[in-house]
Amino acid sequence: MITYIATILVFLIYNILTAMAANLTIGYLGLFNLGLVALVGIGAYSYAISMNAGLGFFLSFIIASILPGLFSIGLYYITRRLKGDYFGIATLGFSYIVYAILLNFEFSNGAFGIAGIPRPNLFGLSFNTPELFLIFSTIIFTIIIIISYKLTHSRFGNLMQAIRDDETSIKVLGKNTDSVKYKVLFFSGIICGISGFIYASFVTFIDPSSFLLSPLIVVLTITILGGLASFSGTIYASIIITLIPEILRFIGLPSSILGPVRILIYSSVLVMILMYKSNGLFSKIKYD
Amino acid sequence: MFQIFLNGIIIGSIYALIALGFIITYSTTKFLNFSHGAAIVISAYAFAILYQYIGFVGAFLTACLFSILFNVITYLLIYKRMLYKKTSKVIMLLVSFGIMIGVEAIIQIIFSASPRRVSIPINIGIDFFDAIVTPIQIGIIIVTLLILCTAYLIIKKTRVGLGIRAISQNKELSEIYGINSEKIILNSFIIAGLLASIAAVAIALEYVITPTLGTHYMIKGFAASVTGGLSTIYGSVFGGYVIGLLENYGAWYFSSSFKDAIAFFVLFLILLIKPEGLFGIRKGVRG
Repeated sequence: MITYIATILVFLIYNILTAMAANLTIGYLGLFNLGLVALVGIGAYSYAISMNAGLGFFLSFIIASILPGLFSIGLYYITRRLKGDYFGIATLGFSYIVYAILLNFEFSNGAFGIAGIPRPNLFGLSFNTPELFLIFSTIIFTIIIIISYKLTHSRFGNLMQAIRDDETSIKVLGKNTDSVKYKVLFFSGIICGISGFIYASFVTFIDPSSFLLSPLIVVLTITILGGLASFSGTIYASIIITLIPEILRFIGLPSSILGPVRILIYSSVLVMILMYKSNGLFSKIKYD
Repeated sequence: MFQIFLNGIIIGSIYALIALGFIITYSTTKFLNFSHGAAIVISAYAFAILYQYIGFVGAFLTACLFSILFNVITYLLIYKRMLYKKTSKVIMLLVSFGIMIGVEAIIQIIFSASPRRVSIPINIGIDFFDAIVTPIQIGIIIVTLLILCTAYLIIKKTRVGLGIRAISQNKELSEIYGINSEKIILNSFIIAGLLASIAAVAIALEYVITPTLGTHYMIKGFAASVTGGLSTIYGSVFGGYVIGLLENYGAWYFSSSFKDAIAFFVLFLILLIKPEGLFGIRKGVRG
């Protein structure tokens, strides 16, 4: 039972981190980035590959967090002229390209994915049970949450939101809006990479389809349910969305339809929220 | 060589049909309606399941009916309200995306994820200029061309087409001139549903069907529309053939496993270099 609860909590941490990264770009910056899940995938794969190449835990962790950050910046640099739904579509195209590359190249082992990814191993301490892993990921999680809280509740956070609301005026005031965007995107890329690391090292198996549409729907549902640019909302929504499928497990649905039922619930929550309360449950800001 | 061209044209016809349906609702409502993919998957399954009981014509008509009904219901229940409230296009894109994913999940719950094939009578390929085509493939190419011509005539010559063109250019102004925009938008959704079901039947006859085929073909058809240009109806149809041909030639030059990636590479490149599409018209700031 403790193992089960620990597993759920690790997934909760994974969801909160991914949704936090999504909220930083979609909610605070107003960039409708649908390529976030691909960044998570890049983090997961770079951790798995560098661990298997024998780089050691510490170096692999650094690579897994920095690389998605760089990809995040690069993606925005390429697509910076697009706005609104065009930006969303281009970043969705990016997710598909990453998926296609992971599916077709040798280094990622194609559709078979990478199995047997080692759990973290630090200072001779191996975090190889769910309980120990929970402790380890909670430490990382707390650090990231504190940093993001400080970031969003500071002058810099206000600047981010001001850029989302009216970029031209902020430019007129003499602020370098691009550098703010790149900083935030780099940070959210790092968070994506770390949540990818948590996924890869906890599940110990990754394949390209773990980072395409169904996780994207989960992340979007959490972000929109919690409300854009709402820090606490993201956390509440993550808890709701992580626990719903667990209730289903106790109802006794056959495992073959559990996956689609989950997706169905997520997508209907998403559609309902967007239709009736498009600023989410805990936010005052409306996206448009 | 000719075989590759022909394969490109066959899959390109399907993309063109999807792109045409997609672009018709886009031109009247100006949002990217991904639930078009849901209409495709619904009618593909309706056709595949009913084919063995009531034959081709019956199954085809039922598929059309299902797809049109789906489009009408989603428009009346969801999009109409959102359009009225002038919801942002990004939100509507997300809603339609959620609907597509949700419908595919329902299909997967009911019919399981295993791929299906329509048990059509064996059709033997014919030799045609050193290439082999089956009668069904010839049928797909010809029917698509006929439908594209009909759609052209409907859009150019009839009152419904006139209304669609008017609304696509300036909705407020055409409302002032007494065009019932809600009715025209509903019509465009019906036409889109019809086109979706024709594309779905072509997919069901020619390829295997899985619950996720909606997303798969929708993304391709969408890439086709963006490649051709979202501001022109014919451009996006042409984009369907472009994507189909590029996919097959790309698979021939590089590796067949890259076939699916090519459409997304093209989509990404077009959005970066020429976001208005190959044949599109640049209209002010987009967003």
